[in-house]
Amino acid sequence: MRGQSFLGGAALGFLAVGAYVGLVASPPDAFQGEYVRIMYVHVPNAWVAYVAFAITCIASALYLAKRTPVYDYVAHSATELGVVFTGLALVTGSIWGRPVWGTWWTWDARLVTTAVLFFIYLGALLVRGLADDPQRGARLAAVVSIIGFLDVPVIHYSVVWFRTLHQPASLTPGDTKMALPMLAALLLGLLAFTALFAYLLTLRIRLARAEDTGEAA
Amino acid sequence: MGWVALAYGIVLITLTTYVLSLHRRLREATRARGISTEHSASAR
Repeated sequence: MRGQSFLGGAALGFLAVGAYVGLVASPPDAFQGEYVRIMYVHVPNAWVAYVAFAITCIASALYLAKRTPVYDYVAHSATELGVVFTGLALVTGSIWGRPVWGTWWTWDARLVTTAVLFFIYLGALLVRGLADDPQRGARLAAVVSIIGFLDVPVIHYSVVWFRTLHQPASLTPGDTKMALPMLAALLLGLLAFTALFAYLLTLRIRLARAEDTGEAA
Repeated sequence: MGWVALAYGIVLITLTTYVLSLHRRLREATRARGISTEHSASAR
């Protein structure tokens, strides 16, 4: 409980500093102008969604193997968070695309595969919610979540495999194509959203456990 | 800056609403379980 409050406070602090650096301290981009600032929330949202679905995949596999409820709490919680952050990544990407690309949406490989990911995990939540037997719902959601994770590497490499409008990765180990102030804003955003995700995940797992057993701690 | 404000605003509102809803659901779940346990105890 104390650790969770600390995590929440740290996330809030990182978000405040990240917002200041992203909105005020970092310069506009030579080509994108002020719109580059949207990237400091868009990329972290997408990153956190990847992390959430990786956790979902691992926890789902463990639940199917061991049938221990705690793995299902983790899988369910990470799925819900992943859907929220994927939705935000799609919305912020769309808002960035309107002034920079001149369109809200285009049938680009990266965009389409990300939208597919959003609907797969939304489907996993629906499958769970619609099942009469909660344990059967959890098993079905776990299967959908494991299969759905195959889309994550496809999203990541879509900009390499296909001719896309979406730019390739700006952050690759040993080959960073960003100026230092912009890199700092992006890294701060990634740190802030990762801390926020960790806080939300612990909170959501507590809720899943409380709804199942009545123990909130 | 309008598009930037829109993007940051949507992220802020969505995540704040989500955090508040998680806290509310957690309080309700804990309270509901507490009431249910009291009912079981009084029935016995």
